[in-house]
Amino acid sequence: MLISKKGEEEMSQEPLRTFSNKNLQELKSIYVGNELLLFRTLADKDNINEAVIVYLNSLVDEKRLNQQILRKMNMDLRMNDGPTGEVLLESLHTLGDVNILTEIDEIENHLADSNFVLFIEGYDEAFGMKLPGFETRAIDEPQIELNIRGPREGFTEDLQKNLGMILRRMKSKNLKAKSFLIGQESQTKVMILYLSDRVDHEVLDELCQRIDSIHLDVLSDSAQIEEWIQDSTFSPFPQILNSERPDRVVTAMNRGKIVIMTDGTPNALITPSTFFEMLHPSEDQFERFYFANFLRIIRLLTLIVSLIGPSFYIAFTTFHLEMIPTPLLMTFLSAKAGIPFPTFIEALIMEVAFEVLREASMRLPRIMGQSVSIVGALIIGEAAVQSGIVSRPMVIVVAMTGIASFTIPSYNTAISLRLLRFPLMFLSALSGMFGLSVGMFIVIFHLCSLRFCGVLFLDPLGSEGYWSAMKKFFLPPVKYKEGLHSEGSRPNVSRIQSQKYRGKDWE
Amino acid sequence: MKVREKISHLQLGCLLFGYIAGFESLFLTETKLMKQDVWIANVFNILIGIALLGIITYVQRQFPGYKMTEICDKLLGKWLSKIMLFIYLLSNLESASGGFRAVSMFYTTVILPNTRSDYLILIYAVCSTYAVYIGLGTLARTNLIIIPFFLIGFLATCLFIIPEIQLNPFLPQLQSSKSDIAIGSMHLFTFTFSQLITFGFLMSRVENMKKIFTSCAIAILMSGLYLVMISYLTLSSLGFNYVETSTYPFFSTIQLVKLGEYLERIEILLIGLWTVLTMVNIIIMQYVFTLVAGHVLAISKMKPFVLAIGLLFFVHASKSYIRTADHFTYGTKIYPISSLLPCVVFPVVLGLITLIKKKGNIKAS
Amino acid sequence: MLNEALFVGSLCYGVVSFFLLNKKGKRYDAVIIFLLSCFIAGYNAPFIEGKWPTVEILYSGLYKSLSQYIFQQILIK
Repeated sequence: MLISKKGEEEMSQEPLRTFSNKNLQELKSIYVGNELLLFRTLADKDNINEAVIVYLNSLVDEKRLNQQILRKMNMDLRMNDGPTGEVLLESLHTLGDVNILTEIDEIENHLADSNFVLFIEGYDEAFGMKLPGFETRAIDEPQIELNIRGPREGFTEDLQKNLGMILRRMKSKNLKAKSFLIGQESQTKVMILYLSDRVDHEVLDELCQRIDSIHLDVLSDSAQIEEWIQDSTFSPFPQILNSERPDRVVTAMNRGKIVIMTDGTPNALITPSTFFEMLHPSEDQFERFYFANFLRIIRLLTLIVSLIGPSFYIAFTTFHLEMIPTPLLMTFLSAKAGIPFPTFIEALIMEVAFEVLREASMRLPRIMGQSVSIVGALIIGEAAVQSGIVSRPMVIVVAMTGIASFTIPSYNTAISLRLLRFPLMFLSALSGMFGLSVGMFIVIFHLCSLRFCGVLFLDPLGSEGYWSAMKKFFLPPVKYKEGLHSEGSRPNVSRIQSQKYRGKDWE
Repeated sequence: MKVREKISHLQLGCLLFGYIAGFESLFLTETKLMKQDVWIANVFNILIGIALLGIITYVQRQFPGYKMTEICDKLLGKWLSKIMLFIYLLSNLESASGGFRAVSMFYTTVILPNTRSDYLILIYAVCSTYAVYIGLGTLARTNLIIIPFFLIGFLATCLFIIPEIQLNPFLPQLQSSKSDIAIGSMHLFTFTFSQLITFGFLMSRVENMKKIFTSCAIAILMSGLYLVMISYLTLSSLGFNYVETSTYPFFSTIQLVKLGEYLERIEILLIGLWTVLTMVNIIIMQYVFTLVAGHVLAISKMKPFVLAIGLLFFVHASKSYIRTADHFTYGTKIYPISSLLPCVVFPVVLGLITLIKKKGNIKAS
Repeated sequence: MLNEALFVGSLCYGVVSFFLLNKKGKRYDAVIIFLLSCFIAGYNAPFIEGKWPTVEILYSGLYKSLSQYIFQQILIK
């Protein structure tokens, strides 16, 4: 019996009949109104239609179908004397991998999966073969995860191509793949990949359960899977890393992570992810460890600047002026003279304008993008200052904050920090460093509370000793990585305090 | 079965350190009283703290699978235990409200004079209620992250204060009278290690119970050392008279920190860290209050009560210690006495009863 | 305004929690939370004259004389 919906059986599973006409009639009734369903007949020497090939137009490679498959089959029929069915089957088997289909449901699924299906008169089975012919994007460098050094391949929307890229890099016999079909209508194929000797099997089981529990009509992107399986829906922080790079995915699998690949999207999901993995791009592996670690520290500092830069400025210029060195304070005060708005409102205007400009530049065609950037810079940078709406130091603060946020490799994480900036600014405006301290405490506290399938999000910070945290955060030279020959032979994240943990204290 | 998250003994020790170092460092009432002899108060404090810790860990170790509240029921009987725990709850509320008020009073006095203290207390209360709701494990991990920053700030303060040292704070020794020593020690103990019973209620949540005493004893020693260091740093940089008259002597000390010619008055950054550690202090109090209240009132589903208790903490704090002078008088005269029963007598009684029962069991067997 | 908001808020919370807990069959918890909310509301009640008791007031009354005695003894000795 075919299972088209996970764990459930379709009500309308009908076996095929020996008269192919009747089968074809049934198929036509299912696909009524769908002009993409095409039929090609195969006739024997006496021109009696003995077989029909059915396929969906634009999914199957029609050129190959006509020139190779149909042509060969017809030639074999004319030249061989045996029973038609046997001749056709023999011919088909020489052309590729044949699936035997016994129910209408299976045929529907195969047709949707770029297969053509052969019906032979007198047979109560149909025969399917994959012949994908739809166009896919060429393998290109990822737009967001750019590297100076390292591979330049990025995933595409074709799952098979993506799997090929991974399998080419990871030839281990421990590499396992498990597939799911998600989406009642879309029947999107989702694969999870992992190394069986490195993965945490409890996390794997939990993850499979969560993927099984997804109920959607159409799965269009891996972001839907991400939202469905993550622990904390309302957290502003993404809990699952996504990447378009096969090298990053392979490195992650080597560290015991589980990768979720979705057909139709180039983003692979890497779980369980930690916050620090979102700050470390794959390029760190390709540079010398001095430089890589230096950049890690820089990224951490820019993260802090991105999050609390404007808040600090608001707190100091509103409540704690004594902290600013006197010459600088004079500059700030003279710059602020004549500005009608309080510092918080200034910061809000500038931040919102910056966000609007950022969003606009993403939507614009590339031709116009540059001119808009120039206009935006002029309006925000010069005109706003000249007209006395904002002060110059505020423009600098906001610009530095914006640049700092661009250094964060994970786009999702950068967005969440941009979002959190506003409540922190509000708290700073309300009560200076007190508000900012409390706000930062809440942010850190929230990060410490996040988990994915029991794995701590802020690992190794707070869960292991300081020395082991430092060892995990900083990249040692490849030669000195722990267990060189079995790098990450145990999962690279700690599950301390999670063995029996299933919920919050008061549940 | 859902099991509450456990913490490590290291995390408990760090919580204890953060709990004490964060809050008490700003007031230094014993330093004002005893000046150069403040080390005596700290030594007494450490010794009594370790003794009290020993008693509480001993009691917990005799009943390994039980929470402290359940142990009280076993040792004292149901109703006497409820009475004692209720007295503890009152003491907890008293301490937490005092903490809220101290923070708000500090900020409205020296940093945010135009802000209503109720709003500051409200922000604190919202934060602490959220933290209590999330749980102890997260708090312990957050504390582990914050403590290094606090220590770095403290070390930086020490380094940059050294050039500001004007006099020798150690001499002449033994100038304080016995009454000053007694009162100073009592003050210091009240505001620091008297709350070890609060940590006693958290000991059942530690993974490795055998290492609790060691971790917490080290935390007590480190806190004591820290308090001694800041006391003498304050005395040496501000002078004895200024320390005696200043409301927040350590704050005045860190105002002297200068980084070259350009960066000075960075006390607000250190105060930010202090604020966070005081928050940890209050969260622990509120968390334990919630745990104990749940037991005393025999509540089966505590989740809705977390917010209610948070509200209670806020309204009680906003109505308590409204006048600063009353607050100080209360802190010096009433609080050391009122905290004796729940914080000293209670654990000692538990320890004695445990000892008696154990000897009785040995004799019986 | 904060007082009035808390008064109304705590009462509403008490009533809503009462009904929710009662619905789940936890009548005892429902009663306790309602009483607790009323107690909290009492601190902010606009029409109550005089002070709703705090621990400070309670202990100041209870321990004042004992404290005076102890400190006097310490000072003497």
